[in-house]
Amino acid sequence: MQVFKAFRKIVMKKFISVFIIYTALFIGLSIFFTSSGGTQVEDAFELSEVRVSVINEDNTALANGLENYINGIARPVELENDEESMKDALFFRQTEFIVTIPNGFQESFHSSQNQSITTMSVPDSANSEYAKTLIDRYLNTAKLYATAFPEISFDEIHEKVLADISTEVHVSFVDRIATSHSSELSTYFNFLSYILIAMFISMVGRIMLIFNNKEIKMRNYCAPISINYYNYQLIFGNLSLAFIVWLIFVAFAFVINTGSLNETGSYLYIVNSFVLAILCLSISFLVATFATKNSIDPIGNCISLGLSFLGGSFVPQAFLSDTLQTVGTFNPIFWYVKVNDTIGEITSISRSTLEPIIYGILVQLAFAVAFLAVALVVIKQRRYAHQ
Amino acid sequence: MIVKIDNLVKRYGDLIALDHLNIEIKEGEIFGLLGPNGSGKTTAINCILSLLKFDKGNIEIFGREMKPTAYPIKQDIGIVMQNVAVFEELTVYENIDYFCGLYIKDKKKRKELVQQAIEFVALKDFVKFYPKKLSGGLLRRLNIACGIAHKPKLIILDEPTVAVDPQSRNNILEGIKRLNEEGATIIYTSHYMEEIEQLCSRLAILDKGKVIATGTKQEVKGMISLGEKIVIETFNLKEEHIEKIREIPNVIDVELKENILTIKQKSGASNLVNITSFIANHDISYGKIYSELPTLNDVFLEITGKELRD
Amino acid sequence: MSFHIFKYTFKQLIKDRMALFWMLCFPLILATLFNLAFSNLMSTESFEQVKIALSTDHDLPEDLESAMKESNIFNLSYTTETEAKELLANREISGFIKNTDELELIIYDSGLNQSIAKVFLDNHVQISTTIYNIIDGNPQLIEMGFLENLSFTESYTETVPVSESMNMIVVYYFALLAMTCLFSSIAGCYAISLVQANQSAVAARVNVAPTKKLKAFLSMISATICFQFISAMIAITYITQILKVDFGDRILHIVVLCLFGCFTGTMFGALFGLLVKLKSEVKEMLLSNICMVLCFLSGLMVLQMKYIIQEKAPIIAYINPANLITDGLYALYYYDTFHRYFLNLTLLGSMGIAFCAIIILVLRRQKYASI
Repeated sequence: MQVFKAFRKIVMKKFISVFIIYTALFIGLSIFFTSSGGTQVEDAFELSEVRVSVINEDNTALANGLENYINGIARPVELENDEESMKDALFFRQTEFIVTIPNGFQESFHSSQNQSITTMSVPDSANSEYAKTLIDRYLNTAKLYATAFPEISFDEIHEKVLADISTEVHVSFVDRIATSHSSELSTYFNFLSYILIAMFISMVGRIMLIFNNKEIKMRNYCAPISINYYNYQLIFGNLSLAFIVWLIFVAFAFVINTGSLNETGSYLYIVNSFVLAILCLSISFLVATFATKNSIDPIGNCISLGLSFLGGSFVPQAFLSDTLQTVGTFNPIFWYVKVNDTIGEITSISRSTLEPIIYGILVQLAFAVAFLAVALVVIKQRRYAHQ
Repeated sequence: MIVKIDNLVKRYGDLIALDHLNIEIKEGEIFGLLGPNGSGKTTAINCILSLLKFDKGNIEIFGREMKPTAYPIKQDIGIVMQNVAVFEELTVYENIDYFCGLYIKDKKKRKELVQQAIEFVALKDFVKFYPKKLSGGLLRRLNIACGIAHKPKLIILDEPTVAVDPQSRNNILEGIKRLNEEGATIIYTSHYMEEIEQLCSRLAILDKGKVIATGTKQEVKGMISLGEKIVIETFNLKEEHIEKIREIPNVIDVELKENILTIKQKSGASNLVNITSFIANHDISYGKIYSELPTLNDVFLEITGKELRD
Repeated sequence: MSFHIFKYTFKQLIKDRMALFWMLCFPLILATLFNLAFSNLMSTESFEQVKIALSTDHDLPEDLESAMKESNIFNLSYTTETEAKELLANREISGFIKNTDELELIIYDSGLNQSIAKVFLDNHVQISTTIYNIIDGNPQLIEMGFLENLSFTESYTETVPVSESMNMIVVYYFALLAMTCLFSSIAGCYAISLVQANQSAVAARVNVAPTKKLKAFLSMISATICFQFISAMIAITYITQILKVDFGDRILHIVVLCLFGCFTGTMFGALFGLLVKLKSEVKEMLLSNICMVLCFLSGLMVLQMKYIIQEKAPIIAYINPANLITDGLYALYYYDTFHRYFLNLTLLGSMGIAFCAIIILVLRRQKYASI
């Protein structure tokens, strides 16, 4: 087990830092992603919560009533009342709709020349259309009451308006079963593909570079152990490294999303990510055959970022351009993410639902075998070339 | 006096790297700095070049005080470092041109000088090569060319032959001699006494930051009592014979190791005859017999009690 | 300035494949990836008419239909309920409306379009309730002609134009440009190692030559800045001309900001190289990681990061050169005025000059305690 021991020593000495860096990066980013994560699908209808900021300069009963109404139905975002912070917040979509109720708004409400509420939004966005509908609805109703009963106070009008607005149309869903949680897990596991591939190329790739070093290799070949035994130990070392890393990140997935382990798709995520670990391992094997000490970082960066970006690890696959979705067939990460997304939508385990998942996993395995085969051929070729 | 080092002291914390060093180098000579690894040769060189701060002492070059800003002095110094100091990204020609350009502004003149340097180190066939592609010996030659292209009056070579094959080494030593013949003063450091013996007209032997001997080769060798070493291959030497040999005039020390008898003697007129007649008189059978003059290693051994190459 | 040193430093940078990759190719590759990955991202934001099917199985209230048409929010189609369900399952419509006993909206899942439809329907149903309530409270109103003058669709809002340049994605490219500029720090660090005799053998040679150290350093630094600036320009050209990302029309200002960015980046790297005593590979690795962190904080990986830092820790935003570059470009793109741009430019420039001053002070110390 001498080779394996050396392997372990090198890993402990040189690569533990790489591991820590990637883990920290990954944990940070995945927490960020999950906290800002996608909308959850629930059984009951929920009105979309547009992020709205109300800047109330009027502070009258009507203005406050409107503000309360908007804050109740939308997600309020506090903003400072200066143009720059408003504009910045809008650009970064921290808020999607800024309403300024001008001073004297209530005063002029009765007159025909009423002051307008000024709004700022991303031009032509659906969110702003929606928010405008909400505001107009409240004010139109209030106006009705105000015209009909000029004598009553705006506080009373607010009460009446709220009572009326609670009238709702019945909403029902087309028959389907809703799932929960899986979208977060899905995001996590999609993102995992980048981390695993970047980390494996960085760690395994470098370790293989050390062992692939011509002089060291010659020395090893001169030693009285068979080449096969030598290679088996190396493969065993890499596999155990991959296994440990994979285990940590999978365990972490369920630490973040506590309680999601016993859901339908969870075990499928684990299986899929294990296949991914093997896939990444064989990719890094291949990379190690042609990279050099200097070029492994750039190559690793390109491959990991490229495959993940194009495979949809960061951005949902639906947002990728049509060409990319076609080209993605040749990208193993694309298949991995696709399987994840399918798992996310799965409602029950049956033959028909499992079929696309198994197919996707098989495709990934085929990729892994293919990469490994190419790597082995290259290594063999090289050995003959040296002799 | 080209270089004058006066009472130079350099400390690294508690370690005294240079201990009141005094060296003078005259114009036109090849001055050797000999000493084992860690004796302070490179430190001394770096102090001469004003690269290192030193704690005490004076350094004058060309009769003027050496300072980091003494550009006119620097103009006439060429340096060949222990480590190969060239750019990986530049070709052989570009490297030489770059370093020469730090000294010579005139483009036309520089071009000529660079060509001469290339011819001098015989790298003509490799001008377009990158350093990575050069063998160890060729790389050393490039390293030298970078240091001497601007035709300096004082050339400092700091172990230029470390890890160089014998052929390239001879090539380099020949080159240094030629540079000297063309008028340059040369400071050469090495821990190979053979090189110093072969090359230098004057030398200083360093140990633990101190100069333990300095002068011409003859002067340095004259500083020790050993004048001659006689080596005899014998087959039936007895203990009593050794005792008797010790009593022969001028003999300092006698040593017998596996049939090889080494007799160290002070210099004298008939040393060899005394020994041979003793052997003949006592019926000692012998094979080869030869006499050796003391080497710098013997000087070092006698002064410090240890071999030069430990 | 020594043109000789400038020339050779430049040559070296061009011949150094690693430098070429990191400083030139890597930004281009990332830009391409951004372009591929985000090309469809922003299109989901813009408003398109909500596709709603009206079930023809039962009659709908007439006024609802006309109100929906008038509102211009909906794209209506008429189908049977079975057809509508099929359309819904394929996500071709957002929902359909049927009127069996009461109005009902059938959808597949919650979302913005569905919310718009629901609020519209709610409104429609609610207005009749309101009118009923009003007349119930004050029956005389009918005689006063109240009903004739009713208006339910008056708009109370007035949109303040913000800016047409609202594409959030450009910030990714801005951060990318910031990264490109800051990568010059690695070259700056390398330049320092070439003049500090205790850092490399080549530097010892430079030190014993009769060329002033400061002059050698400044020539090297100029070449570095120049090289990095050219790669930033290539990146800008690539992003705007080939990837067709709109950076606005203030190209000259962008160029100036990038030049400042390269200057400050180089100085930052040089200062780092000067003060940190580590092996050169370790230094370069550290430096490129620092650059990535700085860029991360200015939104390179997660765009909102820039805003969050700016809101929660404005000091970090103001001392982070990556953010100053990103923010300056953002201000140019988004704001009409130049105030914020010049603020960023000034901060960035002063930072670079401060770094430069420290470097010059330290470099004056010309001898080394140990090599």
